[in-house]
Formats: sequence, C-alpha cells, structure tokens
Amino acid sequence: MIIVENLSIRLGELEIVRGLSFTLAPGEVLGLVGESGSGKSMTALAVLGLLPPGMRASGSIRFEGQDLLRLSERELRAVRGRRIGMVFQEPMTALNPVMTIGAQIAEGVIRHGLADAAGASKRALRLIARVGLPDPAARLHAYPHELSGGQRQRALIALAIACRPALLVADEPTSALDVTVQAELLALLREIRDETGMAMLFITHDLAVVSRLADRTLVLYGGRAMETGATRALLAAPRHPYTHGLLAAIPRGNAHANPLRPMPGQVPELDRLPPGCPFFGRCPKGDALCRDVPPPPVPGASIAWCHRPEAAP
Amino acid sequence: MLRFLAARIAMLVAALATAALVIFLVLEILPGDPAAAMLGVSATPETIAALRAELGLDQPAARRFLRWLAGLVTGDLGLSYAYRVPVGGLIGERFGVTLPLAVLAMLLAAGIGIPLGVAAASRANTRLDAVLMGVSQLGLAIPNFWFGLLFVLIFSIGLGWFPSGGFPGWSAGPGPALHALILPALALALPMAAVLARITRSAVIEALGEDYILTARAKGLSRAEALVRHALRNALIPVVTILGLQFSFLLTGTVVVEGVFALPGLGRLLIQAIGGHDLMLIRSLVLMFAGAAMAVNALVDIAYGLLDPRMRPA
Repeated sequence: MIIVENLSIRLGELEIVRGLSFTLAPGEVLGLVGESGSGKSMTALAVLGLLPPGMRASGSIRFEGQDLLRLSERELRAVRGRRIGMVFQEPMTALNPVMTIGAQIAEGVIRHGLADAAGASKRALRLIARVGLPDPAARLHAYPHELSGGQRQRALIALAIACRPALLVADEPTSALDVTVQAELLALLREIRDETGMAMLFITHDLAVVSRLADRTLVLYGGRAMETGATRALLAAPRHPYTHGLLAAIPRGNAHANPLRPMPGQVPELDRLPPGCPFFGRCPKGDALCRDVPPPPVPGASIAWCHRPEAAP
Repeated sequence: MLRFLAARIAMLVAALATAALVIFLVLEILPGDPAAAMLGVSATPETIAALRAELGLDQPAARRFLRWLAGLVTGDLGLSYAYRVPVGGLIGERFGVTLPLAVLAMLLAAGIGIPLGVAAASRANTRLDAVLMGVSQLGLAIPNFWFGLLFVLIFSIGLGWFPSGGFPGWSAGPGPALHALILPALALALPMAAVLARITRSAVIEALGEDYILTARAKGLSRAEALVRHALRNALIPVVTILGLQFSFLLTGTVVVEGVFALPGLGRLLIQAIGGHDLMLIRSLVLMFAGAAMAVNALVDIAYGLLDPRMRPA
C-alpha cells in the first residue's frame, strides 16, 4: 500500500536519512525505532510532505498509485488528513488552545468535503466517544486545557482518524504519557486498526511499545536502516549489534539476574559519521571493514545491515 | 462570563473612585487660591472671601470631595473658574471631538498595523518583510505631531483634500466632522500602527512555529488557512495587550495633535485649564483621562476572555 524506496532527506550537505526503504500493507503496523536524531520523525514528515523549510527528500514514496514526493502542494493537501492521518508526539501543544476539541476534529472533515458543519460535528461526537473520552457531548465543546494529557492524545487520535485515512502515521504518540495511560492508548490504536483495517507507521524510541503493537519493525540509526523484520523474531533474536544493545538497555525482571547494560557512547553527530556503518565507534564488533565500507543487507530471520551479524539461532 | 463581566466592572468603579481621591488630594495640597487667582491683584480680602463662599471653597475638604463624586454621577461638576460655565457642559462638548478622534486613530492603527504585520510574518525573511519592517522602523522613529505637520503640508496646503485645522462640529452631520478628523487621526495612528505591525509580525511568526500548526497542516489545511484559522487568533493575544497600552499614550498624543490641527478637544482644554489654574476643570479632566485609560484596560481584559478560553473564569 505504501512503498518507500531509497528515501533520503538532506538539509544542505547533511544527510539526515539515507537510502531508507520499507513497505506497509493494509492493516499492517510497522514500528520505526530509533534514538532521537535517528531521522525517524523526519521520515514521518516526509511521508506527509511537511518537512521543515530547507529539507529535501529524494527517492520515492509510492502511495495509492502516486509518488508522494512528486505531488504538487495542492495534490498533497488532498492526501493529508484524508488518506494519511498523523498523530503528533506532544499532546500538550499539538492542539490549538483557543479552539474547541469538536471544532478541531470537525475541521478536517469539512475541509475534505466529507460533511457539512452539522454532519462534521456529529461525526466528531461519534469519534470522541469512539476514542473513549468520558461524557462526549461535553468534550465536544471543551477546550484542550480542560483535558488531561491522555485525554488530549485521545482527541488527537480522533482528529487523525476523522476522515478514515488508509494510513496513520503516529510519531511517538505515547512517549509523553504515564505508562498506564500509554498501555490504554496502545490498546485503543490496536482496536482502531482491527476495526478499520488502516495501516500504521508507528514511530518510537521504545522497543517495549513496538513489541505491543508492531507487526514488523525497522530499526534506524544515524538516518540509516540497521535491521528490519517481523517484530517477534527481531526481538527474540536480534542480529544487529545495535538492536542487541537497545534490547539490553531495557530494564526487565530481576535486576540481579538481568543487569541493565546501557550502551556505551552517544549518538554521533551526523556530519561525523564514518564512511562505513554509522554504528561503528559504539559497536563492540566494529573493525576496519565496518569503518570504511557501508554494510550490505544480510538476509536471515531478519534483515540486518551489518558486516558481522549474529548468526541465526 | 457574566459574573466575570460584573466583577471586572466593579473593579473598574473601585479604581475610578481611588483615582478620584488621589486627584482631589493632590490638587488640595497644591498651593494657590483659585478665588484670588480669578479676582486678580486688585481684589480685597473681603471680595476673595465672598467668592470663596460662592464657589463653596469655604466648605471642609471631605464635603467638597463628596459633592464632586456625586457630581460625577449627576453631571453637575461645578463652575469652571476661568470660563464661568458648568464644567460638565464644557467637557461634554470637547469630548465629542476627542473621543471620535481617539477611536478613529485606534481603528486606523489596528487596520493598518495588524494586516501589515500578518503580511510580513507570512513572508518572513523575504524582501517584502524587509521593506515592511524598514517602513515600520521609520514609523516608530517619527513622532505623531511631525506626521501631522507633514500631512497638513501635503494633503491640506498642497492637494487641498482636507482642512488644515479646526472642527465644524457634529451639527452638520458626521461627514464634515469625520473629514476634519481623518488627518489628525492618521497622524496619531501611524506611530501606533508601526508598533502593532512589529508586534503582530513576531506574534504570528511565533504562533506559526507551534505544534498545532503542524497538526492543522496535517489535516490538509494550506499554509494560509493554518495562519488565518489557527495562528492569528493565538497571535492576537499579545497584540491586544499592546493595543490597550497604546491607548494611554494615545490620550497624551491627542493633547499635542489637537494643538497642531487646532481641534477644540479635551487635550487642548487640559492645556488651557492648567495654564489658567482652573482647578475645577483640571480635576474632572484628569479623572476623565484616567477613566478612559482604565475603561480601555477593562475592555482589554474582556477581549482576553473572548480570545483565549484559558483566561475565562471557570
């Protein structure tokens, strides 16, 4: 349904994302995982054609028979909100503080000509009930500051799915919230996916979140793909040393039996990456080959871009 | 909202009463006997005492203050020492010049400054932006009376489109009166418009960088729609604050500009009253100016509530 091929995003000389490719089938959830600065949020904005000024995307993003990177601004506007919905990270700031929740949900529906004002308002009321906000009729006329963080994020989800898009792009939608609220929202997103069959590109830094929601996972580092595959297989037996490191850094169970191992080093500056693998320098297995030659994709239980992948068990 | 309005109006009345007390006390402390000033050097102590009794100046201060307060409600503000006519009528007449002048100036300032600021913000860091901000820098630097003189030179003496001064009154209908007020209002408005344009520009640019603008764009709104529907209303909150502050300066501005255009307004009346030690007139006029500034502040607070639901009382 969406086929991204060789996507690169540049800011002047800086290559924020390089040669990224992935596909997404209807009803499928792809988790895009990476630390801050890995290029995951810019990938999401590139899909919507909303990259910040100065950033250029190349390659192709094929969606419903069109290449999104070659559409005019007017053609993109017909896709945004209508065929592709987006949920942003910060529920506190992503809603307009001076507009009611109902008006903000209805706005896109009216904009895309799916209903008149009265019909859009009715649809907003249904959506508010669907995303599980208490007392929907009152919430319709409420302002964002009258809602909690979790409730605002529910309102943002209602806003993003208001036009029944085929694809939902969610950029860290739960990262700013409490763990319990996080779990509720993940369950909500899964339900909506099951009901509507919409595909989801789910961006997060949190492998635990990915394990709950994503069918497949793509791990990014320094703007490049590190490893991709079915989420279960990838988490059970990571083949890339970076994925391995991410997993080891997740706290779990008994602290004595499973000591937490933070990854050494820091995410490097994009303009100081080696010509080879971007993870060279933090990788325990890195050698001269890794430093100088970009690693090829190595197929197996998952695909790892690594000269020294873990052998499949 | 109604309770908020009532509370705000009660606050306004309390502030006005306090201002009246302060003005009265200050003028009470100042040296100089109005009766002596009115009668001149040849007056005898007896005639001065007689006039003091006639003007009520022999009464205790507290009683005179209360009489003045009551007069503010009924409109009976006493006799002007210099003009020998009721102060209420004098102020009312001049008010009919200064209020329309101030309102017209505010409307022109907002009507010029805010759209220019939006235009500059939507084309931020382009040539248009640079030109608009350069022009506004000029507007900031030039004082309003200089604009007044320049307009008289160009539009009155040069082109003959507008009168160079004077006021025909409202008896001939609003046409000639407004015609006489446009140049002075514009002279008052331009420096204000320059400030408003700069504030609007930075407020709109800041609002355009907010996350909710990205949400709006992701819904399928164009840049212009996101600006008008989402950024502008948020940006107006700081603009309204400045507009309210500017009104106080506008009142001072009318004093000067009414002089340039020979308009019989409150500003000129105040200058004359101060020159003639006309205490009766001064205290009511000063309270008038203070009251106008306070009323505009109350309006600004109410505008906040309308613009921003977070500022409405729960």
